[in-house]
Amino acid sequence: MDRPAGAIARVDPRVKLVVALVLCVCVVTLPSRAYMAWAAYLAIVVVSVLANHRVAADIGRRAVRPLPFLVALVMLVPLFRPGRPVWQWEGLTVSAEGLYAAATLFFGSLLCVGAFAVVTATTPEERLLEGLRGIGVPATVAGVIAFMLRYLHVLRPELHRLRDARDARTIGPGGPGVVRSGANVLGSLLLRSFDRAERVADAMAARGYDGQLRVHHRHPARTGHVVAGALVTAIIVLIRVVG
Amino acid sequence: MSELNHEAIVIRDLHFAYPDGNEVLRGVNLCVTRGERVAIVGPNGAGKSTLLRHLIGLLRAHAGAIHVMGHDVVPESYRTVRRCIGYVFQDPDDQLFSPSVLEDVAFGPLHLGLPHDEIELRVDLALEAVGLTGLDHRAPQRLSEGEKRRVAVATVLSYDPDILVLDEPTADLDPKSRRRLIELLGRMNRTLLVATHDLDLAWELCQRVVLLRCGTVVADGPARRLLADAELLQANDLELPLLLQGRTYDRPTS
Repeated sequence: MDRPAGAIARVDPRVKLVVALVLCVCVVTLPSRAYMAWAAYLAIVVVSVLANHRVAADIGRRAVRPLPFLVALVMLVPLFRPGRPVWQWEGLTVSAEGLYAAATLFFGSLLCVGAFAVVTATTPEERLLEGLRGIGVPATVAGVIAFMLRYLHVLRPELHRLRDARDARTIGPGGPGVVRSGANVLGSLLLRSFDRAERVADAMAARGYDGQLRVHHRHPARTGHVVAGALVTAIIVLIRVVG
Repeated sequence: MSELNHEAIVIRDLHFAYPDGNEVLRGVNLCVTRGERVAIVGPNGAGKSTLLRHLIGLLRAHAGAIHVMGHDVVPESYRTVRRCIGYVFQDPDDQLFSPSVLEDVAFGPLHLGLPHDEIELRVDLALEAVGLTGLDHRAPQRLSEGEKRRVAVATVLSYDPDILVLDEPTADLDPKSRRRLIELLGRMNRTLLVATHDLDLAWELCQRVVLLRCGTVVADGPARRLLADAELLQANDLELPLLLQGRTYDRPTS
């Protein structure tokens, strides 16, 4: 899919990234009891998902992926936050304030993850990288991300080929041998990745790379996108100020 | 020195061994005239790719000398030499390392320090030359193998090198993509040096063939003569080009 469908998909990635970042900053600094503001931010994220309903499933998948880590983190908060105890066991105390803070952290993180899930699901990787560079992410950092994304698409099929070659010759019951051959596959992939990295460095040197990564863009930000982005950003900030 | 002015590439008594002691080049001598199209052929391990990598200083010779467009290939001149040679690597996934076709084709001109408008023009011209206008925002992983190969050629055409060096350009290509690439290279009006196993490509594209074996040049002459010499090719683990074999596969009868 070259261009994901939906209204937000057409917006300049720089504008999307700035709006999502501002939303995150406002959410993490929002007081727990500003219920109206929380509801407003939830509405903004939900509306942005609905505006891209064709990729809603993709947005959902992206939002769910970090959930296990988030839950693991959130579960620790009630144990370490001092306050009125609601449950005690073997020296562990869960406080009411801790539960409240955990719920706030969970809901806030979910909103931030949701906002960035919308951005990533509605922007092709290459445009997202352009956006990152466009909002001032250092070229080296953006370059590392770019290489990682580019070569994930090369290494994944390479891993599948190695695994298929192993499976084609794996006969008989499993056991420690399977683990060993799995380790061999990963080892081979690592060595091939090193070789690949050397060849890519050669290809860059052959075309004049001198240690400083330069990038060429062709997308001036459209005024309409900037105005719309500024408007949404203003609303987000206003909710935070009022809330 | 006057010889160097007429020659695009001059290689004299080139020796090279990898760190494991494997001696790959053993006294290679080669001159390529400006505008000439030369195919370097030979069996696996003959030293074809190793030889090409020396031309832009990716490997450094243990002995011997290389001159490209009149410049000695030494570390001080690598930038100048790399500007003269457009090197297309064997695997397009090595060559296309940027997130989009545009960035990859613009990489060379950008690192030459050209202004934005000039880069834009060169990207458009390079993509037009390889017949891929409009694919500038496509990610390399979304291209077919044939398209990747043509974009790889565009990535070097964009900085307008004097010499095109291609390492196994038709490897892994289906017949249609191979044909397109050969036609594309046939239209290139510049010095061409191609390392290949594809002797039909060498027959169609090149005036001259250099046969390399065990790191030495064992034959150097007109393509139509060398590639028709079945005895020579067989002695060097090669076969006549398919179009000279004039035979089709006969299904064995039981």
